[in-house]
Amino acid sequence: MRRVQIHYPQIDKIDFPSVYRDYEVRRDDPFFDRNYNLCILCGRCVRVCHEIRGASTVTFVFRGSHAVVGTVLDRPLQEVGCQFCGACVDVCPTGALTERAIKYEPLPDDQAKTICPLCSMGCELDVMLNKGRILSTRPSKEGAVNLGQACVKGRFAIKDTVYSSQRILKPMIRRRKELEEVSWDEALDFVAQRLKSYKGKEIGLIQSPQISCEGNFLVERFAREVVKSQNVDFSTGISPLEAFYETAHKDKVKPRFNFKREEISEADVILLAGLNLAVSHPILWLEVLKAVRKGTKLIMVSPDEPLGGRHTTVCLRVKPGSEASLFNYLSKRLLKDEQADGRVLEGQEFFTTDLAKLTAAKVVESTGIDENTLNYAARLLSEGKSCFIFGMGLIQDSRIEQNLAALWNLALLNKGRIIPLGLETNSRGLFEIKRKSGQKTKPFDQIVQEVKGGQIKALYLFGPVPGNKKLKTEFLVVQDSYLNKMSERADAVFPAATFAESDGMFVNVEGRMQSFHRVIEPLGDAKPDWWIVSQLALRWGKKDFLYKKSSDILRELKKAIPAFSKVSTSAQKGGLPRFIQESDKEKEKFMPLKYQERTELTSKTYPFLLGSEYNLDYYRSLILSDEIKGFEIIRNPRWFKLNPKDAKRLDLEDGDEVEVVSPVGKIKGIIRNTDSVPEGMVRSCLFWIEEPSSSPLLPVKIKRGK
Amino acid sequence: MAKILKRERLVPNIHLIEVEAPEIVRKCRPGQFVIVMPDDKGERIPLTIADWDIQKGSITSIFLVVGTSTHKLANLHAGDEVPVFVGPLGKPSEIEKFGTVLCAGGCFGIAAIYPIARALKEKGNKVITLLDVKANYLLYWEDKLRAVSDHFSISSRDNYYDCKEYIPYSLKNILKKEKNIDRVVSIGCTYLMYTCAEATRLHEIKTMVSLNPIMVDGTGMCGACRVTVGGKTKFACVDGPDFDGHLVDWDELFMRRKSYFDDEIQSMCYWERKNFP
Repeated sequence: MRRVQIHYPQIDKIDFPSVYRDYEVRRDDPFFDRNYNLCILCGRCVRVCHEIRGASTVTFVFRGSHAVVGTVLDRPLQEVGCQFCGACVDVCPTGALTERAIKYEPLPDDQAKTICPLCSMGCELDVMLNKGRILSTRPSKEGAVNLGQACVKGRFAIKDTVYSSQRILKPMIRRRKELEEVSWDEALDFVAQRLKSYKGKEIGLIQSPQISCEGNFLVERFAREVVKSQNVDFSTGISPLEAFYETAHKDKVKPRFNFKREEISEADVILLAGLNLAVSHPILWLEVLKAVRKGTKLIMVSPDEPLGGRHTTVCLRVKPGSEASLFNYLSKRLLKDEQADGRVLEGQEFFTTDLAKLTAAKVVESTGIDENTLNYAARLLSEGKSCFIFGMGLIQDSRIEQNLAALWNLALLNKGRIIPLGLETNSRGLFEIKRKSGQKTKPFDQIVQEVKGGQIKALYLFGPVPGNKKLKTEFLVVQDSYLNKMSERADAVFPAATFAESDGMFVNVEGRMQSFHRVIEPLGDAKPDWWIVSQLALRWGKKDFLYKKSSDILRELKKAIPAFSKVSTSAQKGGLPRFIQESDKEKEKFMPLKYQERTELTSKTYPFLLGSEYNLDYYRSLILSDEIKGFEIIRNPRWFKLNPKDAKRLDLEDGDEVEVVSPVGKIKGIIRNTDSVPEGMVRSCLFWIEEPSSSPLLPVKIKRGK
Repeated sequence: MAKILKRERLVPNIHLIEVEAPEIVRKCRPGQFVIVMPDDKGERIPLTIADWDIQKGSITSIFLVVGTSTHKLANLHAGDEVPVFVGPLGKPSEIEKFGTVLCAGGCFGIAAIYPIARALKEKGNKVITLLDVKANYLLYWEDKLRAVSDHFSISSRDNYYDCKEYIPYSLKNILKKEKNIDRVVSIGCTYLMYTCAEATRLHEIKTMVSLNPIMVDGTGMCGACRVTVGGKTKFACVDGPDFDGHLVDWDELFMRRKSYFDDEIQSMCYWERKNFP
């Protein structure tokens, strides 16, 4: 409408009288306002919500001249399942739906492209700029990954992430017990001098999967060549990629990690296990929905009812920890149908004999799903080309190996594709760098143990570290964009530039290599991660660490690691997408079952099972809901999600403050009743950030807080 | 603390506020204004008195929601209290028997012109009222104003009422038709008052405008509301707010009103962020 006014000034008179419908402006939802007085009932928001996003939160209500776009029973959007992706705001032609943050801002005078760092899909975003300042972000229509769509994080969180009040702007070192702002040279000299006084094995480095490939590659080289330490790993310890690779590696099976988005929608049956795809990877969920609309059958395996459960053909709500027996049972059913084909490979009869031990009654008992449903799921799986997607849910307890082995066997039997989904932006890139760099490194858990044991005396952190309260070292360096609990204790703090202020490359979960470029000038004295590490290495006299731009490092990376050999250093302009290179052959071999009985974790003192929710609602050390109030409304990390029946038994209501006590530690939060969580379970994402342990499934009890 | 008796939205973005202030009611006259603060930390907003009720001891004002403070004011309800409510401030409008008086108002000025038109009518003048609204649904108090005018016309951009031209064009048309207009009173946004004053300049009809520069204390101490009238610096709060429109330095007034434009937007964004996530 605004464009019509500007480009057609000759339209100055409208012959029809304007009718004001006098609806109240809806301002009770986060991120955008809805003023239906300006609505022309074009129905674009209704269509995009229903046909593309699959959420169907708004539709036309009332008839004739009273017709208006609205929600069911006129409830606020947050109560009707809206995910605030902002797709409706982007298609609204009149301004009936407007982004609140830019309502009073000037028009953009420039536009740039960047890659969203807030999940592992790496959506391409258009950044609206005014005088070198980010106004807002929109999903890019040319984006090969997101095809013009984004989620709430990419659409509404980028600006506040970059301009957060918690940004570190100056290098700081600790003098006389206080952190003091100093110049870069002084800070780098100080850190180099202190680090030189430790032996290699006394230094630990913890990488972040949210920094670019260049940064991570240099950190890896820094550890190997400069401080000569093997203590280098990334902060979440385990990712589905890593777990899958390691499980497969033990049994000498070579899995394939690259996939294309289209492979999902081409499948005839999709099985999602251990993840809430609609929340953790909303853009991939769209592809699943596309498939579902075409008639693909969708099976979900999860203790919870995931978001978008109504799109599933069958939802298998297993008891937590019994996924492996479910997969094995499905394999057994499939085998019965397919034995005639000689599908079981020669020399691997152990597989059939192992499966024979599994009886239906046992599986029904351990999973809590009736036999008919299981058989139905098996029948669906046998129908055609299948695709198995799994996430953090399958690797969250000690039965990682048997879960993954069972899933692998099922996929192999079914000639299906198996896709592990990492969470962090660059988890794939970091995984490739670690896998191919040929260096033996210690895993994160071991580093934490050694820090606690005192073997590691100096720690260099590149991002948030879970369980940070317990990590105490003699010397601590934090290189981050945001202040956190660790930087309060640090001896030196380096301000790192965010994705918007530096150049680099992320590898997304598909294996697609995506370069991003500087959009704004760095805030304060912030510098890119690679620059800080290279300058630090120069203090050791390592001349080969001198780089002028990030593309020089990329060239080096290309030589050092064959997976990156397709990288071109010039800017990506349309053209073919560039993928990580890997051998196409998946070795066809079953894995041994390693089946162990499900053990009961809960007891009388700790009657509930606490499970983590894996959403990447943070960027480096910034937890999005701390900075953006809207996130606190839609996904508060302090929520403990509880089944209403359990809540009723404990006499707890929505919003009650509680203390959740586990044998490891306790934590405070707020109760949130939701049907999606099964009875006897508590879901939280805070626990993962603040108090994690090697087994994220923990028995807990709930006490009422003050 | 003054108690709010009523706060309602008349039309989109224009709100009515009725505040209990018996002391002000005793003294107030048409054309004067009050200063209100929506909360302890807010700005002082000058609002023209639109009506008053001696029995109830209440003052009614109309305001347009534009910035942070007016947004805050629009979010108050009956029963709430405002920390500051002072008045009556400024000089009252000149009310005498002139003959025929044309009252031109628009937007929030529709309400501000009402007590003046009423007083002029009581003095025995012939009152011609000319109102300007952008669209039909933005008109309010039509019946009140119709009751105090001899001739009543509305121009709205959507051609719903008598004509669709902006007010100075219709003003010119009226001036052509009616030769014996003795005085014009114009209240509304600065641009409306400026264009009205320019329209009557050739006809040499005295045009009174009620200026609305940025104002802080309203008692002539701070000098924030300086305006140049006839080459002399005047304070709109104590020397005005009514001035002769032909003598006002309009360019300066427009510039002065824009002084805090960027800061106002920032403040608005900040307030929105705090209250609407």
